[in-house]
Amino acid sequence: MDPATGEVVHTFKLVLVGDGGTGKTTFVKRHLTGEFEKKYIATLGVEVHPLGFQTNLGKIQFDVWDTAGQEKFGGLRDGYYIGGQCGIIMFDVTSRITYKNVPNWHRDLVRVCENVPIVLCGNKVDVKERKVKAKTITFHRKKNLQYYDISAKSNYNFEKPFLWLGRKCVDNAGMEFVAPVALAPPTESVDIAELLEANKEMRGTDVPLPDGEDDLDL
Amino acid sequence: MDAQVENAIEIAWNPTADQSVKQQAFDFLNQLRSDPSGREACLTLFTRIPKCSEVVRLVSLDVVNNAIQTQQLDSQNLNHLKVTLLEYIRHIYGSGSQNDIDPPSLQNKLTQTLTFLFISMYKEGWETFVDDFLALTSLQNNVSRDNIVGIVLYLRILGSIHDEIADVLVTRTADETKRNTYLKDILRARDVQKIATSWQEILAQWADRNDSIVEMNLKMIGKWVSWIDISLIVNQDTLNLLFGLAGRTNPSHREDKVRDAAIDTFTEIVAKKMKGSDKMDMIVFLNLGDVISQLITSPALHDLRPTSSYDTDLAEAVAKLVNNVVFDIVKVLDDNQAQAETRARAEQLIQTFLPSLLRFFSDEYDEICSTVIPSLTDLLTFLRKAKPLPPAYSSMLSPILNSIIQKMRYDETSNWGNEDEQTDEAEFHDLRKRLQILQKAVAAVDEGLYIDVLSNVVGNTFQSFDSQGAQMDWRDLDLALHEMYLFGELAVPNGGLYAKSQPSGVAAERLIIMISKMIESGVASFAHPAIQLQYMEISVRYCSFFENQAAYIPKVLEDFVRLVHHNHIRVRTRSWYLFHRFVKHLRAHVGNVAETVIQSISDLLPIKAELPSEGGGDDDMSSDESDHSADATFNGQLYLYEAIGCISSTSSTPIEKQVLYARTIMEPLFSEVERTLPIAKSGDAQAILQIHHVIMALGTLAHGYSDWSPGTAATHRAAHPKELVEEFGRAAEAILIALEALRSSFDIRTAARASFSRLMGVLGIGMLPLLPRWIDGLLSQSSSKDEMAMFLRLLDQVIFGFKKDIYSVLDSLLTPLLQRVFAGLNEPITGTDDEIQLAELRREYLTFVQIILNEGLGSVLVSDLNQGFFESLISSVTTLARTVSNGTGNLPASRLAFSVLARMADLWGGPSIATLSPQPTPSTLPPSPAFPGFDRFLIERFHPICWEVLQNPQFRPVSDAQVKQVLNEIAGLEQTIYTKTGDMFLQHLQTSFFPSLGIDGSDFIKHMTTSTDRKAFAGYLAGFLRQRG
Repeated sequence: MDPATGEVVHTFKLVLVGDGGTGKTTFVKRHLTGEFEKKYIATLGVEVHPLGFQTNLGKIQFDVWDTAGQEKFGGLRDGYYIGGQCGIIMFDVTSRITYKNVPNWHRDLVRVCENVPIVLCGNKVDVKERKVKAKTITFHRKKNLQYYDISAKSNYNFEKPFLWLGRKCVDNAGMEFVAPVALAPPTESVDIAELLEANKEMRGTDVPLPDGEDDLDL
Repeated sequence: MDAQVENAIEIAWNPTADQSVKQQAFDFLNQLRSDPSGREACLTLFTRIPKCSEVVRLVSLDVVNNAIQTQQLDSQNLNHLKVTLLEYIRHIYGSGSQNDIDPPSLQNKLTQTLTFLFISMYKEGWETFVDDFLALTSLQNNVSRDNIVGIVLYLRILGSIHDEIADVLVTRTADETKRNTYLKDILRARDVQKIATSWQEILAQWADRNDSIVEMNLKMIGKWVSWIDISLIVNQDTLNLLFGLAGRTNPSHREDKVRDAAIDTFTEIVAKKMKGSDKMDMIVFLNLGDVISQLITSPALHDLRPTSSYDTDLAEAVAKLVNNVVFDIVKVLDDNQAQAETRARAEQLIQTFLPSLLRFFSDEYDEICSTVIPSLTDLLTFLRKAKPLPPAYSSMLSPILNSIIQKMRYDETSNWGNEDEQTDEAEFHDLRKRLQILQKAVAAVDEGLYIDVLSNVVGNTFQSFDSQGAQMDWRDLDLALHEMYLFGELAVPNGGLYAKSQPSGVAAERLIIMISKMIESGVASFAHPAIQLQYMEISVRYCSFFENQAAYIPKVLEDFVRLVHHNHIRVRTRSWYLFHRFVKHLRAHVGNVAETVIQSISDLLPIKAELPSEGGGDDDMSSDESDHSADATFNGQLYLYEAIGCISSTSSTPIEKQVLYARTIMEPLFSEVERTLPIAKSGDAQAILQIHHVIMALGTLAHGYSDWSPGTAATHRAAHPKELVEEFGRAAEAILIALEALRSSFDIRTAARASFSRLMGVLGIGMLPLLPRWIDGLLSQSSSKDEMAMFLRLLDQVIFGFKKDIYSVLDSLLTPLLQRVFAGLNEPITGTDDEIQLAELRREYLTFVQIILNEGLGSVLVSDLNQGFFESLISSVTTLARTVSNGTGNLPASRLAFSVLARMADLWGGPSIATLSPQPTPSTLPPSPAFPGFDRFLIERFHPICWEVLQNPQFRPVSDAQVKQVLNEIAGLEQTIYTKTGDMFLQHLQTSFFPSLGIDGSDFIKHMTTSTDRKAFAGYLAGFLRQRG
């Protein structure tokens, strides 16, 4: 339930995977409300970011499990995928190896999350020296995934993966986002302050603020 | 231990667990991965009943997997794992009970463990691997495949094994590939037959009873078929089952995953690699022609096609199948080695499948269309090679072309220029590009057909527009205009529609008719931005049309001055650029229309600089098209200024009018400078930017005026009438005043530099008196090395353009100019960028000196005014010549410096008194240099530098191309010194120079005097260096 409105919120667990350095964390941090409500698990663990979206069918929320820092060793590995209802596989269009590894991520993901909708995202399309050309990105067709070019840095296509996954998760192709999402960098910093205030009021307690170094990627 | 592991996993998983405890849990788990007792605990945790939580079991299995994968286990350990897991699996999955089975995630994880065991033990240790799990599919004695839970696990295992050893999408190491090949061989020999039979039995047992099992089973067939004997699948029994599933209909019109999977299975079967003749046989045997036609006429793809219940998944699946089939057929057609019988089969098959191919190609859904583009491309490529084209094929072309054209059209639901649909539009543009390639392929096969069909499409569209007018669907007009735009690739391959006033070919002739119709139709007034934009694009693209049809120009110009005011920003900004292109290209033909044009567009000219908003600058992924920033607007305005310059200076405009128009446009800009400069001086950023913009506008207007006849260098001296030069002299004055006031601003300097070269085109020699002020402003204290380098390049052009005329100006400003440059050369460098800029500045400096020498202005370097500076000049050049250490740009600079020295030696050394020849004759004449003492100077100052470099241990390796180039220049300089000073030089070498070095120089002297070209001498020097190591 949305604590502010009492509205029922449909929540889905979204697993975000891909090679280290592909920009998963930056991507998920673009969503400002999610950024402020994220739950820290541990430096070694995953971060769970609750990203809310206002739709014509009501509010939906993705609990995005960002497995940052977990890629190579340690932790629970695919243990975090348990209960995942949808997924995003991210690679970096400026690094061929990250695209080559997509099949491995896909296998690991569908092993634990069978038959869930998955979006493949090619990040950093804003960078001029693109190495993975659009033409070579074919994996999604073979596995029936949806593909989007994105740029976490510039918010390009930020909402597309969520809209597609949302439609699949609620099984309604007519779902649309009805309100703009607050994305970093905000042009008015006042909004952030207001958001913080609102959060405090909602819970009646101080919301733990992100650490200093964990800023808004402005 | 079990409990400890369980606890640790739970803690690590729990989002609300205490941070420090969690850290401990992580450390513990990481340690566990290399600990045998930990592994045993994990195995227990997975198999324990009652079961642990899902995450505990999953992570436990992962620890076990990790141990197998990293080969920590011996055969005893492996066997223990096998026995324990098999016992667990038989217990849980053997009874057929749904109650105790693991959730899918754990079944898959378990399957992964089994796959790793398979890889380690299938060859030896677990030979009955397949049998053991196959047995699980039956509740009793293998009579029927009736254990659903066992079947599912069995199929999962097959899928996982395939993915691990045969999935071509995964990249693998050479060792893994070898291992996989080996495992596949054993599988083929030992178990594949059994597996294929089991699939058939499972299909027979569960078709129409359990869709998910059937779907899974079909997917396994699709996976494995790529690497097992095809006859195991393509046999009547299996095929009958597959046909039944592929053709099944459901009354509810719901998507049918089983049917889609069955079609995918056919696609995989067809995709299997085999000989062309076998493939044709198989396509016939599979009866795919009928299968596909039936699917196409089925309600899901036919009756429901116009409705929202249209089954796009099915359509895509069938399209994929068609694509694969056609791909294989074309491969046979294209194969010169194919036997006549096989080819005949393929020829027949292509006729059968082409209609299906076009059916999907024409699909409203672009995804489905895209699915078959690859095979259509293949077909057209083949047709292009088949010459002459047999009639059976030529009749295919017209339906293909018509389908392509239809797909080129925006479909009914799409819009243009809608911010929310940008991605859709981009995708459509992408599709159009691919269609264009296909269209070109058709044209390459049959140009006549292409020309006729396209002329008709365009002609009919304008005819409909005549009768329907504003009622017409913009999409039809857009299609016609888009095709016109593309048509030029055929009609004007070399850029011209006309050759000697006649159409340059049949296509050009048709295009000329189309363009006339377009203009006459008045389509420019059709109220849709896409159409208006296309109209302008076409007018610019086919500019050469108007050169021969000048009567159409006024109408199009009129359209342009209206459209540059368009309220759609995308159209408006683009139109400014297009307008500029149009008048620039046609300035010789537009006539005296400037007054009207200026009046009509003067409202767009006022400049208003806007500072980029904080932080938002680079944040948007803006392409040119969607860049609506203030900056983009200003850049567009510059096009208008240039356009006005072009149109105001046409040959049919009287000179006094030209002056008047220039004044009309510049007057407000001058006032703007007057108004803004005081504010800008106080450091106001907006005002500075405003001045920057005004300077750019003045320069750009001048550029428009100057470029009055193509092919004339912009710096040509006798360019413009006095009145015009005077008028633009005021512009130069205004810019200089601004520059002098704001020279510390980088932006202002940049704008002034840009305007400098543009004004040159109009002012010509009139620029020269102003040169000292320009230099003073452009080379300010704060100028970077980059700016100096750029400015020197600019001066190179000036010197080249004015030659002797510039002597007195150059004479007066050389010393102060070079002082600035030396200051730049001597600045300490910090960092790589700086180093690169310094290298650049050195190069430009030396080139500048070289150009002065080459253009016959050398005496300016030793004139009365600059004599005092000569010594500094020489020492800077010699310093650069001798700097050959390994730094950015040192060697290229050294090469240039040596060539400058050689040039000086040649210019001022006097006539040659010695010759280079195999038999040198001693010279008797004394040197007679241009000014006294220069002969000594050559020997005492220039010559030692050559040897300093030759003896520098860093001047290596000789094989380096840059080192070789420097050697060439050194050889050239030494030989020049010799030819100018003769015996005097030889005496010096023999009696003084070489003895002091302790070197026997006779070989050197021999080569220097006898090598008739410097290359040969340089070759000797290279050998000399090599010898010395």
